[in-house]
Amino acid sequence: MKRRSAFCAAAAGLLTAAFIAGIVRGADDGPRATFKQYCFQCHGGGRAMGGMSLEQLLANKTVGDGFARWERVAAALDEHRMPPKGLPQPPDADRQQAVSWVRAELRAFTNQNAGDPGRVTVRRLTSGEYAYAIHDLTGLDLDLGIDASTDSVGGEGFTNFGDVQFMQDASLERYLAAAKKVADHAVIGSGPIEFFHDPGDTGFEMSAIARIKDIYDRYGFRTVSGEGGFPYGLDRYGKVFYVAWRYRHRAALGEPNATLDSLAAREGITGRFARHIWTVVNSTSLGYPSSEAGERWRKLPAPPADARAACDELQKWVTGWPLWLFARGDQAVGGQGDESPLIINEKSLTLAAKKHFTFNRFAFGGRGAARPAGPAKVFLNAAAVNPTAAGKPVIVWRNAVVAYRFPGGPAPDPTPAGDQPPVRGRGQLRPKQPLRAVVSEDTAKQLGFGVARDGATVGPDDFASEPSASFEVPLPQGAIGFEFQADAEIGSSRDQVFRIVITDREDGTSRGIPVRGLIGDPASAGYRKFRDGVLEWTRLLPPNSQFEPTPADKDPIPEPFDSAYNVPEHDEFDTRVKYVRDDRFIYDNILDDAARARVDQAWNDLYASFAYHDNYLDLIAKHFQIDLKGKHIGDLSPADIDALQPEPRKYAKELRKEYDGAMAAQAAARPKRVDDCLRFASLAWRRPLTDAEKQGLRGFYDRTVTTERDPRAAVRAVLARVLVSPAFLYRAESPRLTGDDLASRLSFFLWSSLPDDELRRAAAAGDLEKPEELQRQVRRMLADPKARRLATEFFGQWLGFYHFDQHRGVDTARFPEFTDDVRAGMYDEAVSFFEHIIRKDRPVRDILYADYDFLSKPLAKFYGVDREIKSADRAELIEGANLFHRGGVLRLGAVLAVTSAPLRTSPVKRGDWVLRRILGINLPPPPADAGSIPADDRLFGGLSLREKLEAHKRNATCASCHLRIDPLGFPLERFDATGRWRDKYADGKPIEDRGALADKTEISGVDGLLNYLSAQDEQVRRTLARKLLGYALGRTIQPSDTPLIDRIAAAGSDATFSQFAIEVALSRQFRNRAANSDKVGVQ
Amino acid sequence: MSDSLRSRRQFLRGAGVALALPWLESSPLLAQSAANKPPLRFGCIYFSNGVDPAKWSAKGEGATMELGEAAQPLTPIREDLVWVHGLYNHQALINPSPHMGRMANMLSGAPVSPDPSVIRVGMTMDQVLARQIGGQTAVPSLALGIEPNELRLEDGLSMIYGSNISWSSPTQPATKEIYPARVFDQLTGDGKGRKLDRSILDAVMSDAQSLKPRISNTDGKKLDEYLESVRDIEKRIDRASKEERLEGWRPTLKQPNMPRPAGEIPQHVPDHMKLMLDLTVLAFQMDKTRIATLMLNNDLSQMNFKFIEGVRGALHLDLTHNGKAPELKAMYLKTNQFHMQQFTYFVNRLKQIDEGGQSLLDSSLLMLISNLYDGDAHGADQMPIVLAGRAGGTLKTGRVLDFLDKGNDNRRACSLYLSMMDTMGVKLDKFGDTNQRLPGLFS
Repeated sequence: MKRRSAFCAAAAGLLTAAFIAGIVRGADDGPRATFKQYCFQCHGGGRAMGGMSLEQLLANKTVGDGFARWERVAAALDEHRMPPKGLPQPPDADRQQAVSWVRAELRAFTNQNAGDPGRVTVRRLTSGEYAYAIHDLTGLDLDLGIDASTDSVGGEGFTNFGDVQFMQDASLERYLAAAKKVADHAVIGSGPIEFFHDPGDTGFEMSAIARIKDIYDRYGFRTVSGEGGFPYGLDRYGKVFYVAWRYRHRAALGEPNATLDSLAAREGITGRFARHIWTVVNSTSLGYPSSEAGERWRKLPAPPADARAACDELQKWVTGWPLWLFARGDQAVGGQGDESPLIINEKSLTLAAKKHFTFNRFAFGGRGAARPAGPAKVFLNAAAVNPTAAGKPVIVWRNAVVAYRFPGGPAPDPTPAGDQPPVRGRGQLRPKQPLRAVVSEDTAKQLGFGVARDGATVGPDDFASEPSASFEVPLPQGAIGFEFQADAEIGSSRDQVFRIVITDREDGTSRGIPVRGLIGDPASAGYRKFRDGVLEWTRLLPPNSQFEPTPADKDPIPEPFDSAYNVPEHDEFDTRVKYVRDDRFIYDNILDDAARARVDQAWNDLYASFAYHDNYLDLIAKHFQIDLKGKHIGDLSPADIDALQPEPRKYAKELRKEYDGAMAAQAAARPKRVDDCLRFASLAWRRPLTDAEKQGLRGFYDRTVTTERDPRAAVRAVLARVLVSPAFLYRAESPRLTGDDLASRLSFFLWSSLPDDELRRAAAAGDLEKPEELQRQVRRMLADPKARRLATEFFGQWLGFYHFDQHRGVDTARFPEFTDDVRAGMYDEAVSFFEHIIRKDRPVRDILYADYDFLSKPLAKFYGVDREIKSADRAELIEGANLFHRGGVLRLGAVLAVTSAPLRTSPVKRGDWVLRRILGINLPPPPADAGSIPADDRLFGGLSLREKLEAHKRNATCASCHLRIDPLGFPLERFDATGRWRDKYADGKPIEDRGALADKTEISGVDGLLNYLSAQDEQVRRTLARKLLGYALGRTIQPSDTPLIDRIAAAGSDATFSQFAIEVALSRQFRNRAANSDKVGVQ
Repeated sequence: MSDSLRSRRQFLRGAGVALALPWLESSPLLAQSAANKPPLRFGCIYFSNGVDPAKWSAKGEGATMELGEAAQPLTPIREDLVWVHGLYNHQALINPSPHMGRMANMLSGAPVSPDPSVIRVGMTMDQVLARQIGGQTAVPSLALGIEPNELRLEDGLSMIYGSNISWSSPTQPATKEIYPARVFDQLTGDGKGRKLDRSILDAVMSDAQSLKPRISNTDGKKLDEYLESVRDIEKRIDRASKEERLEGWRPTLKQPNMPRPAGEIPQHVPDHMKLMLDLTVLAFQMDKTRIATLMLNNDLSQMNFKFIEGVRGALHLDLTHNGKAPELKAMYLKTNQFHMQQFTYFVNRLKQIDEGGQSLLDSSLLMLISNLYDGDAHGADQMPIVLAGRAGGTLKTGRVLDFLDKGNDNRRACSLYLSMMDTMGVKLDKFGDTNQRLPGLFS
């Protein structure tokens, strides 16, 4: 590849020199003579007792070829195990010389080869890496069937060891199926290729509507809740007023150069929205109520006062005003939510000068148990809403009557029409009486029956109000309510427009749906002014920034269709056309250009995802009863359309235009899709494509378009082909690592996945050749959320809690409290603990000695920990965990459970775990005929577990290992087989949590064990370094790695995790490939 | 099978070279079909953790054969089986790792690599068969299992050795399938409608070719696995789409007679095993493959046997290593019997399928085997082996054969494998640790 690192090349040169060193020296040394004389009898001349031929070892070119064997030779000689007793023994001086010589040679070999990259078999993605890579490519977590059953473990104990990763037809079939499945999730429309969680055609449609809603949610707002909806985004009004205010006072605020755009960006709104509002609030030619909004804004306090709170108040007024006008109880203004849509148009604003009102007053003690009836107040709450009208705001209430309601009679109609509230309870209305005859004399006087206030004619049972009034209706004995009726009419000042609410509360609010209405004289200039002002408002400061793209069944549908609820035309529209685009306000006044492009793409995709326009046209045809002779919308010729009647023609023309636009957008996107595929391939393959590869992919696309006759299917085929390619599935590297190779090594090491944009940038810029830049990247990556994968993959496999969420090793019949939630909690506990160490860059000693833990609710309960956990489903950081016996890997539930048998603890398994995984000491396997101990601690036949093991230990062949294993396992006995703390065994016997090592060192309890391990903290760090290096390299550790491991381990007890990761990433073995596999392209 | 037919087969020079051998194309297929006889099927059922040696015995013949307690469930099929006593693998016996060194080599007799950085055993006899005669069917062989690979090391060695009995090369296990639904799909996928797959594979094949010159030689070798897999799938697609079955004999079942299993792994172990056995029967009956192995459990099995009444605990740690506690020994015995029941079920199902006047069992050669004898002691000095089926009339059943005291060179399991491979039509001059056939087994 182009960008070959000078840094890497230099390192490789050093290595070549190093390989020559370490050759076993001349033949006449004393040691050779010693070996010949005393050893060859059994280990030379074709004899290889115990599989060992010293003569052969000496014939090797370097001690490196038989490193482990040479170590054994030195040990056997040094410990006087060889030659065997009874055979001639070399003089001590010769023996010592031989031992020293071997060891010096080994040391020399190690040092001279330090940093040897070693043999690394090309790695296939593990199931974990595959899933993470697909996630990073598509943003989706899909069940693709590439699961842990395709993994194996090797090397230093990790799945990323190339020699245990195989490919066969059956496994390749799985990769092919998985790749096609991923490709099926691709959204192939008018925009860039992306992925969606629903596949196929349905996914295409769903993704389009999801994208549309996403843009509306991110930029827009909605005041009116409507059916099942909630208000959102209203704070954007507050922010935009504030932006305009800051801009107005920019000099005073010390930002003379601020622009509307820059201020808007700071508030998280678009410049376009800010510019629109700036124009509105500074315009002086607007009608009411827009003018009122501008006026209020212009009256905002000037600096040094901050107008933030006042802007929020203004927002509440602006968004609340239409709801107030229509007296709606919407959530945006703290109401209950109103299911009917708020429609502000000429139709809904068509008023009459006179309107009949019926107001029912109930709830005198409720059903049956009537309280003594008393007087009830009625408020005729009126507001003049055309402030420009001249004259008195007077309403004339004509024919005001009251009918009392008494118990009995038929049940009232449960579904009253119009503005009437639902009639609850039983009752029977008595004949109507004039209100005048019912109210007290004082009240009658106050209302002024028959008195004109502004010259309008008033009858004897009529009264005028200016504009509000109220009165008390006395209830006769036994009445359970009454009904008030009247006709409200505009007074002499015909330019007035009134908003009327009749209620029993003084503040104008109501129980349930209010009795409300607007009156105004349609013939008056005042009314027209009012109407135009409101319509202007909906264009400039609308309550909703767009119409719902998926109208609910009560929402209106576009002209010319019948918008009534539950009529066939509405239903058919809902099921066949489904979507309506009316986003003029947000599009014109809010969305930035990029969002406009995206929302256009999304709508064009939505139109293209099903026969949208055909269905739409079909409904139009039905509505106007015209016969299109089954013509597809695309088949309609201009002449066909022109032949239609003017009304249907208008709709057909619009539809055809929209349809042509959508189709053109799809067609225009087609050539770009192949480019998208190439970009996708470059991401998936983790490097720039060669020209040949680009041509190959293009050619494949072209061929597939021809054979499949479907451009979308061809795109899917290309994507599938990219994902089943060896360039994706294998981590093939150039013999001399390129910047991209190194970026991949880093990202697979720390994230188990592909490099991100920043890492790719760094690779392309050659930054990764600079150690300090490499360090910076490692630190950045370790702090990234994706580093949790390192906790899962590396720590999980090293320490044995990998896939613990599927652990089946606990007998849940014996431990029913060990539920799936507890198991999930333990897994989260372990992963979150190591994620914390990695991402917070904690000292590595936290691994053992942390005083914190991560607990979920079910796990805290299981452990009996009485601490508050806020999250319902995630583990939370809890400090001071040692108090309740938690904190550190030795006390992790998952670790304690995997080192137990299903029914009992296993000190041997736990001791073995400490010895191997923490101290990194490998013991030989137990002899095949070692006895066993019962699985169930209820079946020890009187012997305690310890006594049983003691008996086992007396057997000499067993003792040598068990003396090392058991004392490290017993201290954990206070944790049961499910990781819970316990004070006694199931049979009531006291816990035996002490062990003694061969040198009589006694270890008691988990604290004692930690204490013992702290004395060996360098060894612990060495194990971590060894495992981390093995994991990063994907190979077993070899002698030449020792200097690096020693150096990392020597970092001291304050060393943090990033120091370890950086040492590994900067190491020669990590940044190079072995020179001896540097034969390119030999077939 | 006549001598003339045998002479047409290649005489192979040992299993070590088998990897390098090409597929045998359809000449044996033609030959066999001329006889218009059902083809031979080979099935191996493996169970881990051995048996209770005190309860593992057989004596007598045919309908009067008496079986020890552990083998009791085989009684209904005793006339269909051959009890083979005393065979062993020398490389297993001498390997210091009591588990890892004694399982993966069960069907190859090869040494297990003691070096953690090198995965190596030996190609197993079923995979030798697959390579030589697997090309005659849509699926060359099945390697089935119940438990997934355990993702850890044991004795410093990869647990891959404890999870795979079938190895398609010394360094690669055959892909073990544990999902019943995937087996079903593999058997029923017909290669039709896979034109697009074929062209995707063609394209990635060239990816791999163009990748090779840019990577190192060793990496290129690993990529060969990939290339070979692509070729194998392509061959299968091509074969299926051509439908060129030239044989006179036709399988008795065209369409699967069982529904597609659910996508997940069954929670209940016996259900899982039954499904895998049924799928093996289906594969044989539809003649989709003639070679199958099924691991009822992995070595060091964590399978919790609580599904058997009165048993609790994991097969390996709790029940096999039972410390001779009577209660636990009784449970261990039940696990032995449970494994026998699976084999009996399998044999009976094959027996009930008619293939033109004879049963499918008559054309089968089945082997039930564990790598260890005394499970608690990791005993590799011999193995429990039971054969069943008449192998096309070449195997006389209802017998007990004992090789234990015939001398180590005369009781190699690999001798049995050589004989079985002969019967299946694949002749090697040596295999594993021997070049001798097992006398007196096949006629």
